[in-house]
Amino acid sequence: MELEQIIEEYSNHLLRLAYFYTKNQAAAEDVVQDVLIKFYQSNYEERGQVKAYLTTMTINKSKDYLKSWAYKKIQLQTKWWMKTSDPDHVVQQEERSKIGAAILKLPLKYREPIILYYYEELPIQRVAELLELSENTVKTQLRRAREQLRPTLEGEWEVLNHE
Amino acid sequence: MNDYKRALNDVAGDMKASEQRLKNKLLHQKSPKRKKPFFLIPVSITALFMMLMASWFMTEVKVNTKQASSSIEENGILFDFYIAKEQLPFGESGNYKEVGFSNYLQALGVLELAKKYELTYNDEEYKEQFDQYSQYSDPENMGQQILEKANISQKQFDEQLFPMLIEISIYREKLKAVWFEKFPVMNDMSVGAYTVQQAELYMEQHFAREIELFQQKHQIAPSVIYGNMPITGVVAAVNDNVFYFIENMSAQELATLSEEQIFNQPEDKLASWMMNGKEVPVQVGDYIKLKYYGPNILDDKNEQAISINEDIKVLLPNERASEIQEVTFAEDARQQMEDLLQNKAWEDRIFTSIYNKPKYIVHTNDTSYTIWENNRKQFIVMPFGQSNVWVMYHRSSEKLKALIEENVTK
Repeated sequence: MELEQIIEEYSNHLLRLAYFYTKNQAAAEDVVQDVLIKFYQSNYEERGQVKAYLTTMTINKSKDYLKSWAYKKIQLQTKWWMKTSDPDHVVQQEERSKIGAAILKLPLKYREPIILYYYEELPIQRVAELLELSENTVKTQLRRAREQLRPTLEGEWEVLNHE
Repeated sequence: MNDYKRALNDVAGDMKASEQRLKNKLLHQKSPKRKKPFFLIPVSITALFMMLMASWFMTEVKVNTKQASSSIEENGILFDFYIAKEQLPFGESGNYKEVGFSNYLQALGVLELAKKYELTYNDEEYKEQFDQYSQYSDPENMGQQILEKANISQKQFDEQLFPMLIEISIYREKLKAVWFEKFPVMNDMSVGAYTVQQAELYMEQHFAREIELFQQKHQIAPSVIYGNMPITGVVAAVNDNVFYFIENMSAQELATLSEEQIFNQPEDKLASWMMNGKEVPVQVGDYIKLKYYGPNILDDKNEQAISINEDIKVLLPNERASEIQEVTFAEDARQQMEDLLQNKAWEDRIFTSIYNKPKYIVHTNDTSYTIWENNRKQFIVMPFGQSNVWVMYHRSSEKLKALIEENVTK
């Protein structure tokens, strides 16, 4: 598969996925760029699982990024125009959807199961494998994530309320 | 597409520009700058220089410390700034107007609260805040881009906007000090969220009509505030201005728990220390209703962070807890209840709103149940010690009600 074709087919999805981890567009681009270069150099043998393979690579690379010095440095470099909003300014800036923004505000521990289960639409078993957790722990984390989202869910998705 | 996926797609916005940059980098070995045409770089360097000079000058010649007017209509430059700040990274898509307006209102709310608490600042404090601002890096000249997007000239920035932003920032910090002073129990994590909440509430309470007119004029959709749906539960502990709240728990159930159990609720049950900012008198065992502003301050490491809430109302004081009718079912009644409970929908409690005090508590030989009645006359049932609830259908609810009444009279 040619690089151009891979970019056409998968880059949008991978960029979004990396963004949900890094919460930074430039960082997401860097992550996906590294993933695609590595993928292209790896002589991957097509087994009909390119998307799953790239997804896993992107998740791992995004998590590496979150542990990196580059990320920590960015965290320290607040900019004057960022300081002009509320304490959650970084996330506020990303807030085009109240619920989406609330999901991005969750700690990674709770954000990640939401991304994998709801965004990637992976079954619980696969999420548990990827995160190296038990299925029950994944279920608990999903519950806790929804719990933390509760006020936003109720405000936005009133149709889901029973009354 | 599920709702979470849709929400995440919305928040990520349009990725086409990122995709194009990626293509350029990988296929054409080009790496265009993210936003800025090269000819603007000298402009922004000049702008930065001018900004520093202008602001230093203002500091040195004794800045006018009069507060900015917080009228919604009069601060157009501030509004333009907040809108552009949201619009620039994401373009026209999404709700940049609503978010920008919300940030604008927060800023005005901070100024209003500063007036209310008669806060002032001196030149030294202004200079200190300015020094902090000038240390922040802005490698992509986003600040300059925002000004261009908002059509704000350098002169306007130097003379109007920048002093206002510094002023808002000073007052934000001063308000935090007010909260620390006012409330014996407060922490760093909650104090910022509390400032934001108070600023928003102040504007809503005092400028509702102006906000509505402004939103109409600028075609801004009315905002949905976090935590605008009430929840109910018991006060399990009180400590000065905070209390420990456990959702969907009655005083009777609370009484069955040890102190250790009270503070170690199941993971999926909402139990948290809550701010009592308006000092509504509450005591242990009170069944209360409140609006909960949780997600801004819940934290991975501090599970017992103080949550911000509003509109606390005591639905049933502890001394009247016995108004919840308690009944003990013998085996035959227990069996009948179990049959009726087959005809129910199991609901995750986050999708079930309970606005009233419990109506009944039913004890059987092995379990106790708290029962509420919703506005549709359906029973909502929760076994003691659990967090999720069962919502019974209308007919089953009526039958259970008859069964309970019959056993009460026995």
